[in-house]
Amino acid sequence: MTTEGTAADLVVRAHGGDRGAESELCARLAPAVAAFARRRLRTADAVREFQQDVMLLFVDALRRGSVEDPARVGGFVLGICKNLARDRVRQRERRDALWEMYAADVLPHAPDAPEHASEDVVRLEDCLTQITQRAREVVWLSYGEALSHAEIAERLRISEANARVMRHRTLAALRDCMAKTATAWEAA
Amino acid sequence: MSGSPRDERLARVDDYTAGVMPEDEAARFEEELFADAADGGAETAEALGFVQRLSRGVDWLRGRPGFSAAPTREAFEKLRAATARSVYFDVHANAVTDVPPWSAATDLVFYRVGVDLRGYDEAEVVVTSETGEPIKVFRDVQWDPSDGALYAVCDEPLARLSFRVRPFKARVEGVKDGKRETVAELVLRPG
Repeated sequence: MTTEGTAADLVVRAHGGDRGAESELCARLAPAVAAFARRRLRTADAVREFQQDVMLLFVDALRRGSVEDPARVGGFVLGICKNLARDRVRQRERRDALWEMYAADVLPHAPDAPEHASEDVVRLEDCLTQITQRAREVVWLSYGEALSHAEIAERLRISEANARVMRHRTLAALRDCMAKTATAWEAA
Repeated sequence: MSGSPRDERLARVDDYTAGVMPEDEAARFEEELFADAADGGAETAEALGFVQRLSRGVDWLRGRPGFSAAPTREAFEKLRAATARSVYFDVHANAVTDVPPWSAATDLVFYRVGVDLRGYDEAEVVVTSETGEPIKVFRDVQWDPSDGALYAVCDEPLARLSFRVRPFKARVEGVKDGKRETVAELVLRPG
């Protein structure tokens, strides 16, 4: 079954039992949920758990047909995120029950911590060697230590504006490098 | 930033996730972000996907050599001593190095490039195929201040791609007083 279509189409089809549509919606929205969590949580485990929790609730809502306005499914998922962020304790209790019911369907969209260097990690390592030491520091401080622009600026003894520009330029360079289909070694 | 819509989108997603976007702006951005993600917006999907890949990659590399490439001999030896499944070899300057084989269970590959970069302001390593086609450039490489050599550590999967597939050449270039010069040429081949 095709997974193309508007968000509203996908919601209707998912409610009708189309697991491909459901999977496509989860794939589209899971990274946004992770971004929401990353803004509020600092550890990778916490972000991962939050993302899983939201996707469990979303799948539950899809199957029960409780997405009232399918055209605004993005806002619906954002609402789940906000509610969950407000009340983690209540959610934790429900999570256990939902986990039993839907874990197998949600897991493909909720990344586990990899045990071995994935293709992405290999590519990231390859790309990191191709940027300057200062740029590597910026990436580490931004994503390894989760520092703000101001904190990075202080650590590197540069202005906050420079820290922001350097961070964004470095990310764009890494994005372009990692978007390649092969590492520099494989492409040669 | 260049100001391209892709770059701007990535910058906004990064500002948002980093928590530097003010709350009122973030609240508006969230609405837009989730709606766009649900609709399968390509630029949003790319930016979010990249941030997720980067976050996971950085998390995996925490404490590994991806960021702290063990530039000093002391750090290199410390990491080597702490790594049960590792392999070590010397890369000879201006000579052919036969890279030793290693088992699939190896975690980290350690190697020392026998150059002396003391006195240089910066250095990089330009890697080419045997016939001179460019492969990659290791920028801003760090050397040990005591002997000027390069001490490198690499995760096995990347080391396998680098060293075990084909012979290649590398040129170590140093910059001193604004002038770039070749410090050493290396030839590596799978042994």
